[in-house]
Amino acid sequence: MEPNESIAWVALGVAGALALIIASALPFISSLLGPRRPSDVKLQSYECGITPEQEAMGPVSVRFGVTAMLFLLFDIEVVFLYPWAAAFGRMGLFAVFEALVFLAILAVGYLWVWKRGAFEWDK
Amino acid sequence: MGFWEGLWRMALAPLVVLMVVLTTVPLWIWLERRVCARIQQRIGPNRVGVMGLLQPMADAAKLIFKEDITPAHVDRVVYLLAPIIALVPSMAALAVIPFGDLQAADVNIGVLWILALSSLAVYGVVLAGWASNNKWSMMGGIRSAAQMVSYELGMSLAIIAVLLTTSVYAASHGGHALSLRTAVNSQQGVGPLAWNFIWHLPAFVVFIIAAVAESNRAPFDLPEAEQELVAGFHTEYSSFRFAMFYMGEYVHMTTLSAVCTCLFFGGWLSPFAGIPLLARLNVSTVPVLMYLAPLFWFFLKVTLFIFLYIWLRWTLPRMRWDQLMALGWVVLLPAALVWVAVVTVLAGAGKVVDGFVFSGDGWFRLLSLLAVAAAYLIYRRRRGSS
Amino acid sequence: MSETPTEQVQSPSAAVAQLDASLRAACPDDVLELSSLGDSPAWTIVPAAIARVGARLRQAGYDHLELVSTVDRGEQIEIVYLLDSMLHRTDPRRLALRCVVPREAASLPTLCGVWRAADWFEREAFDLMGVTFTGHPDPRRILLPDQWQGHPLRKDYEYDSDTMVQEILDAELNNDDLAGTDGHAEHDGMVTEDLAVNMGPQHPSTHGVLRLRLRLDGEYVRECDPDIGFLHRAFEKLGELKTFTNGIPLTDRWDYLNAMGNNMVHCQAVEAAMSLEVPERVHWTRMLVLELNRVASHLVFIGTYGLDLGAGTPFLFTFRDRERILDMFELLCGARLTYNYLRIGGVAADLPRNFIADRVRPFLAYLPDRLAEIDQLLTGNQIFLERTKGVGIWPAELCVSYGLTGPLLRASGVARDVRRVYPYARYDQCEFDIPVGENGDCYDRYIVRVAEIRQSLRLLDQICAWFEANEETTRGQISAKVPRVIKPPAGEVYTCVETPRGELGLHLVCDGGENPYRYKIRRPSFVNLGLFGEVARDQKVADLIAILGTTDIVMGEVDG
Repeated sequence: MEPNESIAWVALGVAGALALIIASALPFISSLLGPRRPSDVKLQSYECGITPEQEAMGPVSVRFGVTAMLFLLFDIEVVFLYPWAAAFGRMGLFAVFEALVFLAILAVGYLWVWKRGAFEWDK
Repeated sequence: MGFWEGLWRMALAPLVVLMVVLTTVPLWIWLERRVCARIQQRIGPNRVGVMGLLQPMADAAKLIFKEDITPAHVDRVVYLLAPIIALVPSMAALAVIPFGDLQAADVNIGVLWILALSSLAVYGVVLAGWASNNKWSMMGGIRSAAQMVSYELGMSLAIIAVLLTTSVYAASHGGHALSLRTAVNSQQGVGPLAWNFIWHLPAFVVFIIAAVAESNRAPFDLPEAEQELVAGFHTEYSSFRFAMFYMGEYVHMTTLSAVCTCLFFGGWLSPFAGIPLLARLNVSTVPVLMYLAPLFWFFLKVTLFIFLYIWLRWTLPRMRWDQLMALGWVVLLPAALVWVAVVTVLAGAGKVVDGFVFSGDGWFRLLSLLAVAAAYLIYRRRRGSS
Repeated sequence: MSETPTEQVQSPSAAVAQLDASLRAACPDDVLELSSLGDSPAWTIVPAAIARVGARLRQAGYDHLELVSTVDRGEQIEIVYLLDSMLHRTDPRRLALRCVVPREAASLPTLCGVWRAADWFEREAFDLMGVTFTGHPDPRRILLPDQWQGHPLRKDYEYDSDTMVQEILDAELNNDDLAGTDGHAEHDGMVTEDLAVNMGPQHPSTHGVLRLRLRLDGEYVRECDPDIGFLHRAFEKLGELKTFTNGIPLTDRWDYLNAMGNNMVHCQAVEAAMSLEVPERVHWTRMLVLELNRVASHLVFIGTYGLDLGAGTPFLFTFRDRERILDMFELLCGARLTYNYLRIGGVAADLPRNFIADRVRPFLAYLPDRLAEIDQLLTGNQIFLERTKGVGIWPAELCVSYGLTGPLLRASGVARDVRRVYPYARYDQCEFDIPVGENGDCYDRYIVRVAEIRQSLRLLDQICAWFEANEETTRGQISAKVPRVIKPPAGEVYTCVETPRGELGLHLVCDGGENPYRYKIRRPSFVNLGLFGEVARDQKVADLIAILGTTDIVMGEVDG
């Protein structure tokens, strides 16, 4: 890499580190500055004024899992599209046809998922 | 490269960029409250500081001095980390955004960095809900995560469409295809007519809607809606941890607005550039202004998008959860996919007939307008007949 | 019993005699004597046979159970049922049934199988008067905590405050499993667990202190049990302790968004008990304030409903417009919310000079444009339509069976308005339409109320015209001649008015003294909420908020 480019990567790292430092420092400062008067009621979880009974880390609808999987699949396809798109300018017509084939396969998959009803949040 | 330049580029520029953003966040908060008040025919904060500009500062100070309550049965480590995980990616994403000449890190991955960090931000939200040991928070967190993740796909695809024309430009003019700087440079031309929102109209619409949904703003704010789940995933957070989520939301809005500006609205390019008579308004000859003018245009455009966010929030009711998810998966995703395919064909065709009457670029623009017009007419036809 | 095809207008007594004959023929041993309650006939029924007689009358067309009232008569407790007809034409339109049970063994069959409205009525009767209804599906207390001892509305009620209250405070509100469930569901062969959740009593969307115990299966509500009583202020007991005039300020606090209507039903009941005629001007003044109050209440509904759905702005707009009405009321009686304006026999003070011209007329000119603005913001908004159209469809029969009244009922297509059916004040001299919905969904419940604002404006226009024509001749006539100490003769009466929430009724039993003997309030929000547990089933959580918002309940009235 040219020095220009490597400097940019360092700067990126610095930016990330700065963000982390600032984000961590703020609540720390706040916990130092604020009062500390714990009481039973304050430490309870909020459930609209009633003492909660059931363990909260309990049932989650299964549709969220399905959504997560679908996201994963489509995101991977998108990830494949990125390098292709970045190199598109330098490629010839081959890029076009190849992408259309890829998108067609993607579309078939998408339509199948649609027909199977995975996009519906109703019963 | 000299020492000072190296220092600037490695350390000071990132710091300046972060500071700039952190100072604009109070500005957006102020803007939100004033615009919201005006829409509701009220005045909004006008006591603290001139026109109430110091109000966000007062609120931040209050939040810092509040008691930091950590509920008893939370997962301690995750509870403490979640706001940080929510805030840091949004802030770090700003490193690759070109504010005119000011940019923290002009790396060749550009947009990909932002998208990767957006995906990380989802962790903050869902972990906050999970760690709070509160049914409402958990429900809010999971729904929020599902929403963000669904709309990220549409957003990514919309970006890919723009990426295609950017990479065509980069091939002939140099620069990295994924870099936002190149995206802005590709929009040089006759004022606003060269900007991508016209030529990539479907991608723009998809991106805007997805951006509003990504940042959990109304009309897509069901997971954090007061009326439904009390305060959603950040119910159990008080004091500055809550402020971090709040800040994180605005930083995220800023990031997405900045990306939208770069990709679709010509970034720091002046709307008067290239227009024969108005070009005289360009101040590109005066040294100081030469540096500031692009910054000015950039921030003006970002402010307009933030204004759009605020406008949408206070005008529209909330969409219901399943309607929201349906919109993301069944409307935006296929629309973006189709547009990517269309751009592929049109940009490819443009490259082939480059030089024949129009430049390749010109052919793309012409054909894309025709495609959008045709789609619209077909839509109206079907609407009218049914 | 159905009307003969060649029905002519029968005289009231003839119709009553006919019904009496047919009842005695159908249930010979169950019908005892025929008396009257106000203008309506009242049959005393053998308690054990009440369900049978009730079913008979239901078949005959009395599909609306208006009220279940209980009166402590010393050795015995009397239960009074008021029946009315909504979807059928019956003659007489309204009738009453009485049952008398011994004090120590106050029990009779439930009417839940005949009218679903009996569900909550009977629970309240059990809670406050100690009458048990055999066969009731859910015989719990409704207003008071489960640990309460005794039945407060009984005349001999005393309670040991210290121990009982301490017991109640110690017993935390627990989230016990909703009755009759096992908390599991099956999806495609996969067994999933349900989530038991509390919504309220502190929740921004439950419109006051309402607690909904929900059992959720993912996004869907499998069970919903409303838990009320957090705002129970013992108005019925207090009504017995206050004199007739002193009780008026209390009425303001039932449905505090419609205080004038509450005043009205109280004064109207006492005036009916005393057979008192009020001057003409009083009628029109009362109509003026009632309609203004209706507009104000519906404006609150529109604003808060938009807020429930996430639209923050219409709330500010409608409340600003409501301020104009509150300013008018402040000029009139000095208060913005709890007016205490009506009196037995009249009103407290006359309208200020030029009130109509300076205040009311400009308001009537101002509001239609604002309503058009709200139409743009909400009614025409795509997102709003998608969240309200087709959501929470309530069929008319269900509504009638649950005793729903007011805009909720009219949205499902039943054109019933007390101002038409049992006119009071001078409503029979005014022209107005009754807006009715088509589908009974949330959108209809919303749009009916918007349309009612327009009808109220129309009524106000006519009221103003009357005032403009009759100002000089009637100025100052704000009260009939009432005795210093108001002591209506012994007897009972039931009157009702049309409030923005439905039919507000008062069953007043007088014993010739200065205080009411029994002061039973038929609270529309209470009855309307009785439907909610059933219709909330199988709805999405987000829709739950949308539906609850359209019920437009005021907890002060629900809990009484």
